Amino acid sequence: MINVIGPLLLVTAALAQATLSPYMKINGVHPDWVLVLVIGWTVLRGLEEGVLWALIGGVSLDFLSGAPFGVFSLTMLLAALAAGLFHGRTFGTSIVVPVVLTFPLTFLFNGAALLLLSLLGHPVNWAAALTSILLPAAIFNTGVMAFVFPLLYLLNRWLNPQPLRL
Amino acid sequence: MAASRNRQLYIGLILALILLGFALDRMGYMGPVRNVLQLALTPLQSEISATARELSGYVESSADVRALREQNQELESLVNQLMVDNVRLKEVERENESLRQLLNYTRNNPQFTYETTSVIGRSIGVDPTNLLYFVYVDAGARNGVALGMPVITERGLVGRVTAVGPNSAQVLMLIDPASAVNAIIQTSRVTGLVKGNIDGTVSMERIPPSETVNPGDIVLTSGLGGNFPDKLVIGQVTEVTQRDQDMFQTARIRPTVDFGKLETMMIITSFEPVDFETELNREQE
Repeated sequence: MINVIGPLLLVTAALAQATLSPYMKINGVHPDWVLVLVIGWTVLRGLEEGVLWALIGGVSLDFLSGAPFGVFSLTMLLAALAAGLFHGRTFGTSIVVPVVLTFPLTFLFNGAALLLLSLLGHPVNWAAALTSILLPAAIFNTGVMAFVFPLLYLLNRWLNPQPLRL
Repeated sequence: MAASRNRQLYIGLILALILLGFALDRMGYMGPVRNVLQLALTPLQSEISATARELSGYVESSADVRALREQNQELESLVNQLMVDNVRLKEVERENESLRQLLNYTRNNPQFTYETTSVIGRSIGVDPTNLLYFVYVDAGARNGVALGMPVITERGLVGRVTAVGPNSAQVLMLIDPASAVNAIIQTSRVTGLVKGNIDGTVSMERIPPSETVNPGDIVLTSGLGGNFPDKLVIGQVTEVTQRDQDMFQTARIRPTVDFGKLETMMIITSFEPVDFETELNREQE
């Protein structure tokens, strides 16, 4: 079941980003649904599944984007690796960890993507990027995670039922 | 220990896969894969975009508001058309005057009207990230679309085609930082380079400090460089700045095109961009 639902969810999220984002923009930025899903699932399920989700989500974004192929797969992998460090730590599967993590990881994801793009010759104005993209996107994604994580939690419970403790 | 090694191997394998894809893309082998995927996804994207447009219309308005909006749109469209007509007429007038002075042409010279062949494309998607400004249209190589062709709406310049699939094309918008268009101020004939910014705004750079540019001036494509035809409307100057350490002035431009609401676009297929590098290489050979 996981083999179908995960990729389907990620491809749908990438397609939504490519078609519906003009309708979801606030202050010029839209939520990175794929990134939010990858961070949430990595925190819930750990590095192995998180990395697989990062690969599927990143490749979907790469195919739909005008950027050179691999930029978003690599940066998504980076975000998943960082999120994997926090799987099962301190707060277990509490909503606090993914919500707090989303802010710096969005910075990491977009910042690393911009760095790669600039290395590949795309002009980047870092000061403008910080104020107009990196910061607003991090705030937006953090808010989105607060709504998405409970749904991911329920999906995880449905896909991986816990044995009853008597 | 073994689990940790397996995990490292697994992550390494995924990283290697991504790097392989990256390398194949740099060598140009991912193009056909992208084309096949685009071919498969275009109808789906088209449907989603159309549904979203319809839903957006329903959500935004009640019946009365809708009627008012339609009327407003009609009027806006009329104003835009008149503005573009006005700009074009001024250009024709100026060109007419200058040609008459230089070449002693007669007043009603017919070569000022030029025919354009175009393809209408509907927006089927945008770049899924917040970092790049691309739009995808449902017209491709099968419709005669080729690399570098300019894309416009009735309001002005949108950008140029940067990738072409059989049924779809990728358009680099004017607001992307990688976009650069040679431009001219309509009244003062001052030239500069219109570039996009990462925050989705547009500015005109490399304006000589001795030249006067005022807010409200209309900015057009100059045709220099051969990448775009001349006289396409880009926008209007809103602010002019020059810092002490800068060699040139910079003008902030408000584009006439609303890049957040692109629906139907026109690709000028009769215009062939000039690639100077190829031309020079050909001459040297």
